[in-house]
Amino acid sequence: MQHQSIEKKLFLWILGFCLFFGVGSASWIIHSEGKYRINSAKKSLLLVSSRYKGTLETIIEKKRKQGVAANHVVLESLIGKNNSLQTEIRKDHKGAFRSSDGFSGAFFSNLNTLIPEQKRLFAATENLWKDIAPLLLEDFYNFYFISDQNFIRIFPEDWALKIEADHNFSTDIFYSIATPEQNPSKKSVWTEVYYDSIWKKWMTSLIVPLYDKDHFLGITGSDFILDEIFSYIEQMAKTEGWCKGFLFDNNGNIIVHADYRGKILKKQKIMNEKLTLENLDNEGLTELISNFTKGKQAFGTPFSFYDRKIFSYVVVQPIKFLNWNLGVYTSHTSVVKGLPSLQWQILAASIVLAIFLALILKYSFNKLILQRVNRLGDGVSAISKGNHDFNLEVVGNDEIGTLEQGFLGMRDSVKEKITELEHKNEELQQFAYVASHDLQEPLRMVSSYVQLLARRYKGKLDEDADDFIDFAVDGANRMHVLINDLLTYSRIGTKGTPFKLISTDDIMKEVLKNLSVTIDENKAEITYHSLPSIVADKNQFIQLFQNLLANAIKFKGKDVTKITIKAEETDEGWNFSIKDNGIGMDSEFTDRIFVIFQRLHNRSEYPGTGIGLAVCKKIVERHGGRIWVESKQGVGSTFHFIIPKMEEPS
Amino acid sequence: MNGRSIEVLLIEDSPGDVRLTKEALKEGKILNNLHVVNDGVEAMSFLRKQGGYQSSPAPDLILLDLNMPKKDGREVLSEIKADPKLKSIPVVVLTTSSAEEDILKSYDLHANCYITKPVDLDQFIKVVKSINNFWLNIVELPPNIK
Repeated sequence: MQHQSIEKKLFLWILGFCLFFGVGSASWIIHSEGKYRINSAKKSLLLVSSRYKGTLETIIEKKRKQGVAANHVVLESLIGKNNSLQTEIRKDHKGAFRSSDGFSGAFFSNLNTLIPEQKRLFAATENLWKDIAPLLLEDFYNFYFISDQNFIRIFPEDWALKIEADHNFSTDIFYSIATPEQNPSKKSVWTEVYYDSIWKKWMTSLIVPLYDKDHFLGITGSDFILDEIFSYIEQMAKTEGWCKGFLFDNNGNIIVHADYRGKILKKQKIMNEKLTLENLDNEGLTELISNFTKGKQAFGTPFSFYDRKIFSYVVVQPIKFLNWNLGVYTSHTSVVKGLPSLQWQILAASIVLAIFLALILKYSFNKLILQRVNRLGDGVSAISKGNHDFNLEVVGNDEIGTLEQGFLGMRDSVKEKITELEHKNEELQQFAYVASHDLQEPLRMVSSYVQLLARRYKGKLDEDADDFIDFAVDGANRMHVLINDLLTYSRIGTKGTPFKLISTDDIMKEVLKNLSVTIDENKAEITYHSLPSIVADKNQFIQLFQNLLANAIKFKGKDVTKITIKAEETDEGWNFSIKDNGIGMDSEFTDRIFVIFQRLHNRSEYPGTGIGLAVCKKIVERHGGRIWVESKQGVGSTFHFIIPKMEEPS
Repeated sequence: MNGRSIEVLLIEDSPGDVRLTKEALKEGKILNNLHVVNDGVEAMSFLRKQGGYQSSPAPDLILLDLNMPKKDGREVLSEIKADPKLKSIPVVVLTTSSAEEDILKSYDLHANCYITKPVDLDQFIKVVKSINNFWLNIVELPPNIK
């Protein structure tokens, strides 16, 4: 069924196309969606880092301002002010003086005695700290003053009470950083992150040098514990969810990173030790930081790096006032999160869509074209089978409509022509039949009266008259045979019997019986092997085989006549062959012998009218087959005929 | 034979065939009264004793040709066999046609037998003799005809 295969093919083609485009567009969508997400992630990174950088800078600036303001207050309070000391100054056995009012504490190292100015420092700072410390407490973890004389006032008091007696502040990072030598600008400075063994914490300190005019008096300071910044950066990760932040200083030390909090903070170090990257096992991050500190990478531009083998995007921005840099980053996987499942969803959707589309197209193609084409196909096959009354409705004036109209036109003209032909053929057959039939009548008359003449007057007239009568009788007889042959020939088309399943084996037996006298007289050897059953006109097949066999015997050669009948199955149908070892013929005559009344031999050599093979041809053609001969003069002939296989009519 | 002369009606339009039949009877040395009519209309007049045939005898045997002008053999046959007075007369269809439909049609119309005229004269004589012998000597015909 050809049309089904077109339908299937069409379905598969459309499905293929739709799938191709579906999958293509799905991957395109995913690709551009990925690109878009990466771009917006980079933008968001920049936005978030700017925001947090801003906030961080604000906090730091506020602290700095507060620290500077406090510094001024300290300066004003210390110069020329006399206060009485409320608490007792104790001297320990190593020569360190300490005081504590339970709120702030003070310490002087390794002195034998306190001079009045030094006592004044104890008293002045104690009073001042009482006033300002509660205010600073809101923003500062601690607040202290270290004089260039190795004196410290600090709240909370703990450190002042615990500090080693011989402690020298000049080596402390939170002091040395602000000395005139280290800090000629006299402005406030932030220390690097260092370890404070008193608090057991990593911290950075805001140090403001204290100058009375140009005279360096010491510093005021406040510590900034790394925990706070951790909390801040962790807060960012919690608030934003999708990104992480980290801080590193310009020396390439990581200061804060959510993932390293434990590693950094739990380190047990000694006082003033600076934070280093020694335990950072993240090559990507190390390289990133190194690139920034070496100036290889510009700040503020998003770029990609590997965070422990995870491809990530990062934006790094410097923090003002501190030599710190804030990095914010996110992993590629979190950026494209959900994309793979989206990809499958789009893929599935496009497959469903493809099938749906293919079905719709198949249906509409079937409806619009295929059904009509099939109908046309039915029409054509109906006409080819001889049903010329097949009708079909012309749907629309589209291309197929034109075809349908064309088909109807063709059908009508075929019908007309066929009718005309049938009519003519019938006329012709009728003519042949009637002519031969009606010829019998006068012929019989001629023949009968000539015979009557011969009967009554033979020997009574002269010799010539007897000869003439003989010729007339012979002519009449021959004409009689011819007319009978013609009748037989014309009857094949008009007087056939219906086709049915017959055994050609049985036919052969019957033919051999019919020809038994001839066969015996000629001592012919006839062999045949299991011949098939076919659908045919039985009487005509008897006639067909009989004519061919009789011919083979009639045109025998010098040797013993041997005739072989075979049948082979071919694509065209059953191929029968009748092979003899007779006189054969020249190849130029092989077509002529099938024409009615065509003879290759003189009547005196071989009797006959030349009707036998014409009848055979007509019979074979009536069965839709063809007949031919392969022959070699003096060797023999093989007659072939092919009969197509037919369904037995029910 | 009971001495009464046998009446045979030959319905035949061709004078050649009439003569040939007569000659055949002569050749066969068969003596009976042969009446000849040349078409179907005349044949029916003869059988029904109408027109110029009031005194014609009822035939013992009818030899009928099929192809004739005016009223052809088939019509004549059908009228004879439809007529209660005539239907028992044996009708031998003697014609040149050996067409299957003619044979079938004739027997359908109750022809008693159908014979194709042989081309060969000897054969023809033999046939005519046989008809006479069979129908007039061998067969017992209904008594009302005789």
